[in-house]
Amino acid sequence: MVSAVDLVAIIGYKYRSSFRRSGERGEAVLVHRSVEMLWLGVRYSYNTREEVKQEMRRSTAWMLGSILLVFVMVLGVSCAKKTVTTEGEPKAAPAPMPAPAPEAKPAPPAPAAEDKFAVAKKAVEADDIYFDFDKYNLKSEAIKVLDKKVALMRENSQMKVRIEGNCDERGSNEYNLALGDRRANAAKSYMAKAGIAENRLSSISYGEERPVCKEHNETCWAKNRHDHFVVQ
Amino acid sequence: MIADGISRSQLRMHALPEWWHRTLAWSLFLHGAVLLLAVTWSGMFTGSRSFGPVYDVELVSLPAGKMSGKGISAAKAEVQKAPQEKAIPIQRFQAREEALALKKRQGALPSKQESEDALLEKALAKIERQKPPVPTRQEAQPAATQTEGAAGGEGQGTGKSVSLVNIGGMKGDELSQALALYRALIYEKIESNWVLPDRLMLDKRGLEAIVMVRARRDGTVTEVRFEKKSGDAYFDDSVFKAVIKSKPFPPFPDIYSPKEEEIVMRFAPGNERY
Amino acid sequence: MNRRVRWLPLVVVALCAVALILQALPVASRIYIDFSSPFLRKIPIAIPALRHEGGDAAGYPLAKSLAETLGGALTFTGLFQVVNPTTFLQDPQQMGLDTAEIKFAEWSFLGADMLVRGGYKVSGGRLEVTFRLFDIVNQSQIMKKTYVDEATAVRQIVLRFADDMMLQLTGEPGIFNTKIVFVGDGTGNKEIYQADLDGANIRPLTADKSIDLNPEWTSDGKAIAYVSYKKGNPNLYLMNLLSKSVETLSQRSGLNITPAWHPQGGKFAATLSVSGNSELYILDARGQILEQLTNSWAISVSPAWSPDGRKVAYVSNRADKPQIYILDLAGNTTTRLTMEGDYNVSPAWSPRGDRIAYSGMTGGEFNIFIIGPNGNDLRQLTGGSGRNENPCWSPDGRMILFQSNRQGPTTLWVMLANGSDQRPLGLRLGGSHTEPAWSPRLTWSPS
Repeated sequence: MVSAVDLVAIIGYKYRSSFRRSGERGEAVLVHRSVEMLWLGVRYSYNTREEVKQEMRRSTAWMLGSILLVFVMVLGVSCAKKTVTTEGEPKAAPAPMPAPAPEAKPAPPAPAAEDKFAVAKKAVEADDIYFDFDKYNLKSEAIKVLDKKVALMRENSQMKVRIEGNCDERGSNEYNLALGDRRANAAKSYMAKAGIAENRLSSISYGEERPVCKEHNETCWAKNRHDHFVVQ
Repeated sequence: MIADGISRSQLRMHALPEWWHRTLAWSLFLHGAVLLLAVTWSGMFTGSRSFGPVYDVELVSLPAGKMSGKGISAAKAEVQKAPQEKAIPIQRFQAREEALALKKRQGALPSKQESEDALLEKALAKIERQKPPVPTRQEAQPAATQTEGAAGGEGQGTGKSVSLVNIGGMKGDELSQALALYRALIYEKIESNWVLPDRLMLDKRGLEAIVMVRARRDGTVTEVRFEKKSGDAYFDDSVFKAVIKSKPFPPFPDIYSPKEEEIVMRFAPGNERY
Repeated sequence: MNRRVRWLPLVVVALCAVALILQALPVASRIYIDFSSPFLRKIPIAIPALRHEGGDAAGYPLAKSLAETLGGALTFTGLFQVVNPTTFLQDPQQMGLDTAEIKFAEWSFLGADMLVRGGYKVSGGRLEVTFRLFDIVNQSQIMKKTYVDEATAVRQIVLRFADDMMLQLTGEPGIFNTKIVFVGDGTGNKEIYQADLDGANIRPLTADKSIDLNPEWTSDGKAIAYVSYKKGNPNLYLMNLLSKSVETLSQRSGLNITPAWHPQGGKFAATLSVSGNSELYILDARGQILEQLTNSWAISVSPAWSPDGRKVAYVSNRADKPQIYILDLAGNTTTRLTMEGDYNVSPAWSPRGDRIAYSGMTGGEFNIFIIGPNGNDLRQLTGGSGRNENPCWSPDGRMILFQSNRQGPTTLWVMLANGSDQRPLGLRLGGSHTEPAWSPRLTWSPS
């Protein structure tokens, strides 16, 4: 690339004689000379335009290429992350549905009803619903779980359930008692709206007082932010 | 007045008329006088305190094991080891955290077992590591935060004039160095005796007290007086006690000739934890 | 023109000369030094063993235990640092007791600014102790006091003197006649415990084998209100500390939690969710609802009274995250107190009225903050040391007791109200210790 300094030097040298004479004629001469210089500079650089263009093309290509590379890498990493997280949470859902119906058939009718209740009880108590930090709104996975419980309770009209609200260890015990209360009530009102009679549903908050695990990390905390269901 | 027909350029190159000379001389004199007055004026009225040049002093870590009760003779033996302790060659007023760390390292409390000699040697070692030791206005600049409460800049006027007036033919450098050493000694002694309990200073901020101490050449203190009280009895008491506990002061440096000197100390923890 | 020009510069020169001379006068000759950092933040105090004057067992055990107990108490105040007694040069049994006999220079040499010198004697099962407090720097006696009590009441005597010392030196009486309660889970269940303010003399108050939480003192210090799940639901109970009898304050459905006794007594605030949402109520000492304080879709919890009983600080998540609000009872207005941070809980109003302590989440961890009641002067007191929660104030508003897990299982820590001198209480009890509450100055004798 042609350096600007070289440019100025070349032009200056070309016009050195006129500088000496300009003192006589005053400012008008100077202005005229500077305009001439500028035009020459432009013309001069225009000649090397092809070289300049090529270099610019090359450097742009490098820039774009490296940006693309970084972009691809970032995308790849975030995709990997997404697959990991989506794996974690709704593991609770697929587990139940044992429903060993064959067991009930050969037995006489009365024990069948008892067993049916026991089976339903197990099903209702098996799944907990989970919440985000400092939140008590029901997530879509939670709704699905609650729907299953509602269905089971419809089939077993004598079943009563107590909903226990829990929180992770962060925050004050007092606030967490209130938050757990909210979480339990959220599930309770959903099930009541779905048609379960109010006298079949009760709720209690244990705040952070009954954790299912005691580690101090997000995995454990996520497990503790839950409603647990106990058939009575 | 000006002859007609002469071009402006010609005027510039010829000699000035008579009255121009006089006017110029007048103007120069007046400007010089005003400047001189301005410079000396600020020095004259020291109503507002100017502190400095400010010294950056680092407390040297005292030798460990000084505080175990071995009796005076054993303690003295330990004190002799003091100069060999590594002096940290950083130029900074001891930060509170470092003071606490220092206290922890010592285990218990500082004691007066440290003789004047040990103090002198310690401070000397420290001063020698400071290069250049001569306090100049440029060096005082970075420590501007310490003198934010001082009006009139960083005490350039008074500090310098002391050495100029008392010089008596000695090199300004040597005197300044000696004074720097002396001030470092006093600073170390009084600071290490300054007890200001957090418990009594809760919710109190920005307290400042100024104490004037008149000391003789041999170190005896003839007067301790408050020039400014902070308004808080506990603070003023702590400051007063810090000075009292530090008596007698180290003697003046030999080349510093006055028989008596006023040492003005400003205690201002600023907006620390208080 | 010429004449005027001649003498004017002379005048100017003369003026400058005068200025120079004036400025060079001895008045301007001074040395200036700046001090910005005190070296010690506690008063170094020496407490040699007391001088035995009759009646003690061989070896004079009380001599040392009196001195050590006093040293422990004075250290707890955060005002003193006790000088190591092994540095003392004289045998305490030979040392003099009054001003004329005290060798002030020696004590100063050892680095002590104050000295407690005392003598004691035991006769007929009674212990008589005389303490003297000396100012080493001023070389004078500050105070002298004598105490008489049962020979077993060593601690009580010492604590009384410590209180008197604090009154003498700070203008405010000490707080050694106070106690604390807290929740401990060492038995496997959360129960309520009582202890002296320095963590000594731990006593279990409950044995419900359930979940007991939220202990709070009544304003006269004679009873504790607390939550227990012993009947299945979180209910509020009141335990009389003298008789240990328990009565039920509230067992409404839903939550009955966070009791906060009114500073003038007779009623208390609590969180009840009987309405379907957790709201604040004022109840009388029997548990009858006097007034409902909040009524909103948000969670309202953790009430804390101002010392004049006119305002209540509490936690609400009406702004989506838990923040602290102040309800002015007179005007029924609520203003938000905490504007910084996403999660602020556990307000505790200083008995001096000028500060509210709380626990706020910063960077994923919880720390103790203090703030003025107008939201001004926010200061963070803990940081970088684990999870710090549930602050409570000493009755003189000079110290804060809180829980911290910075050194292992959560336990109780204490610090000065400006965050300095943080240290563990050192409770000798297994398990974790949480939810401390500091009693008012007690008029009844602590057992």
